[in-house]
Amino acid sequence: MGLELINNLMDVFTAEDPMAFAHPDGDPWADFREGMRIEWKMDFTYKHVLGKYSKFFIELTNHKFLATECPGCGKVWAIPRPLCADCLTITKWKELPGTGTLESFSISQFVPSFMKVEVPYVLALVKMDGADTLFTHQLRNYGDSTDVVKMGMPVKVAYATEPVDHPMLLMHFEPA
Amino acid sequence: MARAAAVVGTGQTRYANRRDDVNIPELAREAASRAIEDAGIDPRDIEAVVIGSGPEVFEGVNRPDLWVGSALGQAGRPVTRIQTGGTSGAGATIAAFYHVASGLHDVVLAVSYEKLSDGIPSYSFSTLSDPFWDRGFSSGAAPLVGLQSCQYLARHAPKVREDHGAMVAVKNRKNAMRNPYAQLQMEITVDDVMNSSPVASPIKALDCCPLSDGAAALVIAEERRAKKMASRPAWFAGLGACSESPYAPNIDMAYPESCVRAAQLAYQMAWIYDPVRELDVAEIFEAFSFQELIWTEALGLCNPGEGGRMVESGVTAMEGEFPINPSGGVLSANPIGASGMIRQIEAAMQVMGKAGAHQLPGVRKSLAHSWGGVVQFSTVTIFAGEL
Repeated sequence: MGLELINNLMDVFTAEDPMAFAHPDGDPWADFREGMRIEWKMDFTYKHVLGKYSKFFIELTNHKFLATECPGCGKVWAIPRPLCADCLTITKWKELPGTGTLESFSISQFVPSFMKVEVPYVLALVKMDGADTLFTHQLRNYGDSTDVVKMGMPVKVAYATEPVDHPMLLMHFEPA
Repeated sequence: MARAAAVVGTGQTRYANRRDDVNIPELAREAASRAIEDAGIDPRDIEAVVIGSGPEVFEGVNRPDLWVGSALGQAGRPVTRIQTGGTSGAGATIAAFYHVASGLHDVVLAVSYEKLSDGIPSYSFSTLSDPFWDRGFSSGAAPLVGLQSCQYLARHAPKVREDHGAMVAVKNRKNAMRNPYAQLQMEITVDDVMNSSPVASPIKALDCCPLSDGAAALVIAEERRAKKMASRPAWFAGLGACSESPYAPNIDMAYPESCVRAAQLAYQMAWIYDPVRELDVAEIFEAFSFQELIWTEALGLCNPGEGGRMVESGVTAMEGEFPINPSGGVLSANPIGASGMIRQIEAAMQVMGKAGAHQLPGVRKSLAHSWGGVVQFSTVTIFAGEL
């Protein structure tokens, strides 16, 4: 028995001197070039409280898109902010129509393997009607080609009809 | 009033996609030893250590500050760790400067590192997003910067074009050929970049930085010691570090306020009125090619919308009137937590006259920039050859 005693051993190798160009007289670490690599799997679950934002997600299940309005300076925040970031006043909930225009977008040809989404994947930055801020989410149902995705195009919030893995996925954008 | 302080020694590791020959503290130690040697001092002359590195989730090793300090031969010294994503390395330098400028310590070591090959960047990047608003659909850094780049290009079309980004990628990879520490040293053309595989529009494969393992370190000393340690120290002349909303949609990513303000603060402190005239070179944190154009404008090195012209006309080339990223920039190596410090090291070396094959002639003042988070952290550091 030898190295096979190590359950999580990945490999044993001889490493090269990465600075060979600076060591004309030989590798100063020549006695330390035996290397091994192990893998370490971590699998655990965190529990996040959504705090004062929670109502936004609860209302998404009722097909309502909520922003917050600052009674102090009048700014409308979408993403909602319970505390106005500009004047630090406690805000009030305000329902928006959920429509807007495309301020920017990025089309990805691949996504990390854990994401259960279609490719090409379109990320949209949207100026929401009735809000003073922008809102980011995925743009779906744009048809057969991403060629139709254009700056300034009208979009709207669409609501999930299937169970989702994150409350934010209760909504996405679609062409209006 | 802050005491004068200067960078008196710098050290870097070879940047590589994978450094199989070292573990994390060994990697950090490599850079630290070189910086201490470069400063011509004994490790025992160091009075305090500041460590900068990215989120623990990158390497899966918690509390790196616990053991990196002693691995540097600095057991017994005060150790502080800075973590602000891409600005971690620059932040560590700034914190080390505070140690010296405050008068509490005379000689301080700042070290930064990242060993991305130990982790799974596509997974760990997704956990960096806000757990409520972004994590459900976040697909990494490139799509976010894709939104930023698309917004920028649309705002300044037709003055700024997609191939201006490609020109940055060509220029910086070519500069990297003179830098023995760079990871990507490539002679490529604008067509190569434009035809490289699409990643997150308008970003293509050659518009992206690589994933890197690497470490960087520098020694900072107060005036009297600095003058003894280095024939031409790089004096801290100006600093600016600003933040803004953690929600990318709440900030103007095409002209970020945090970068504009950090630059203004640094210029004010350094008595700089016309940055492009008074500075000689800039090292900018361009993880993606279009960002060099965006930051060039936000740093006030040209007017908004002029970033494309700066690269197309050759102004920012190695031989140009205002070279940007002579080291090859982040596009040539990105050990994230160290990248901000690497920009400062290049800017300091240019002032010290120690940049080797990528040394520019007669540099008196230089600028180093970094960004972190979802583009909401910005730092600007200005070095000067004269106090």
